[in-house]
Amino acid sequence: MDDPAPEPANRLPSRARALWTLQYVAATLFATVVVGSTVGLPWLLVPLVGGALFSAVVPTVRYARWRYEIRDEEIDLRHGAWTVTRTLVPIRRVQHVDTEAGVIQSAMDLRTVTFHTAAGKTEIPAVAVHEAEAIRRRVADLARTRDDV
Amino acid sequence: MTSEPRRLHPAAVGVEALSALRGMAIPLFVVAVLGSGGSVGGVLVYGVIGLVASAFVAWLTWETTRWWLQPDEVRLKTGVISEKIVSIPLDRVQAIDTVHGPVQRVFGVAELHVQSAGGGKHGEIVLKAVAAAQAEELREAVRRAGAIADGRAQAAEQEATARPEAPAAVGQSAGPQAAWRLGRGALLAAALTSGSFGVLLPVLAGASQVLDDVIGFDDAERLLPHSVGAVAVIAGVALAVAWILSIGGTLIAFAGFTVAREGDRLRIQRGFLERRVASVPVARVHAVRVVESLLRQPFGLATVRIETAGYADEAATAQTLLPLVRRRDADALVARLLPELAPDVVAPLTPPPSRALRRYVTPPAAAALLVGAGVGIAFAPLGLLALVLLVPAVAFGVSDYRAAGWARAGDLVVLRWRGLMGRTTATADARRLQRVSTAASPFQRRAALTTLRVAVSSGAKFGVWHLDGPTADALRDDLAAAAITPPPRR
Repeated sequence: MDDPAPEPANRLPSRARALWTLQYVAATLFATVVVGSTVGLPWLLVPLVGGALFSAVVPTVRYARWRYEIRDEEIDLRHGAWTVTRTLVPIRRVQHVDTEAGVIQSAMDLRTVTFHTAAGKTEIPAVAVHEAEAIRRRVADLARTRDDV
Repeated sequence: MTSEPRRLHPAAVGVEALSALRGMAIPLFVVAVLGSGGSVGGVLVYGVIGLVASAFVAWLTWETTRWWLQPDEVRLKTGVISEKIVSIPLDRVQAIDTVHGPVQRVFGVAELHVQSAGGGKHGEIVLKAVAAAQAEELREAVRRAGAIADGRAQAAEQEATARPEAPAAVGQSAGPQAAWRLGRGALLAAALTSGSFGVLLPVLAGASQVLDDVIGFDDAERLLPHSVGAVAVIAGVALAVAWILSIGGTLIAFAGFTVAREGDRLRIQRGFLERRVASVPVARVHAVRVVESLLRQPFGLATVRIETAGYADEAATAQTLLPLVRRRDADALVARLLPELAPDVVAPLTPPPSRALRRYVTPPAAAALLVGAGVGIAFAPLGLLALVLLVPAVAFGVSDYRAAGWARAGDLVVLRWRGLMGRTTATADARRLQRVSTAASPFQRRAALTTLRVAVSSGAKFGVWHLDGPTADALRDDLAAAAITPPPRR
């Protein structure tokens, strides 16, 4: 390899940010109620303020960073709000592909695409439904012709 | 044509009962002693109840278990209440490993572990007790299916390449090409330095749970130690017990350990009470790990483990290649047993840049500072002595830095790091990597440092922290390119 591999290009749909914000806000409310009712009223400020900060910042940064690309021979991912991770998975190692969605995800027409290899799974969270199906079909086709562990 | 269902040999009842008893032994003992108030008769009654219960469950399991040897697959049906059927096509059988436990030896049967190439939850069928004749029948069926599969693959290959292929090397030589035995002295050394204190945890957990259930909180309070001296003594005793258990465990598990390279397989045998034989196809071994644990590194000793694709989680026999060797002998031995995973030229490892030293030292030092300060404040003023923990913490950080490094050697990649298990040198076939990734926190990004990680087909993950950013990125792309190229036909 002489040139560095190009960075992956595709972004997640913008409503992914809304999804994550919703999830963080729900978790914040839950934690605030739990802490407030068990430990005591002044303490609930901790999860409340912390959670609010998280909900405001993390989904935006994470959405801005997420990139993926399905090439003929590999899956290329770049993501991370705090730690930026670049992952490469050879298509020939993919044993099967799943798509799944929680309740909120489903309502927003988003799916999590999971690639299973012998060493575990790699995910793309919050992809549009039709895109998820396209990815699944494409990788399944590519992996079939290259099958090996 | 479906063949007749077969039962396991009745010895399976004994095998199941024995393993059920082993699992129950310690909690049962604690319950017996406490519940009966210490009377011998009471303990015996509990013991007999336990024995009868395990025997019944074992018989029930045997009664509801059937297996079939079909023309194209081997199938196992288990389950008392809900039925579970696992089947493995004969041409996907990667190995048939055996275990000869005490019960099996008495009855002249074997426990068969049929390994499939797929791995995972459908990766293994365990037949607890099979008579020798039926075992041979199964092996013969697998051999025939494998021969047919090879013939088909050969034909397909010849079509694809449109030129006559040399006949596939059968590789069944008369004797092993290379072999190694664990001598008695080495076995003892391995046992003494194994230090697997994890043995103690399930024992403690079981005992504490039983204590919770059987005696009330007030009584338990009375039993707890009330002085620092008592705590120290109990901790010392617990540690000693754990050490003794781990010594015994290693002696029993690795007695008579031999490994031999036979054609395209590694034959690994070990065990005293339970004699285990695993036959590992070399083509599925995709990485080798030389581990120098904390107890072994000062003596220049190491353990060599292999990472194999498609083995079920509990196939521990196939994981250890050399239980204990001198570190300086390890590379040469691996080169004889697994030349596929030995670099032709032992290249020096590229270390992380010097600016990474600070990152290696800071986390353990900060942790030691926190703990020291906490202990110091809580147990002032004597507790401040805990700050002396800073010295070993910094020393660990520095040695982590000095252990780290990487190298490329042909098709192989070598990564070295110090982790929880000790200093580990992993050599992996780059063409078989499952995943390659680089990661950098904001602090690392500022210093142009990156952590590199790879995953191999056994599920094991290797990584080196704080490598130079551009170098790590280039290595990542290089490894990804290697992992993408189609592997050669073996």
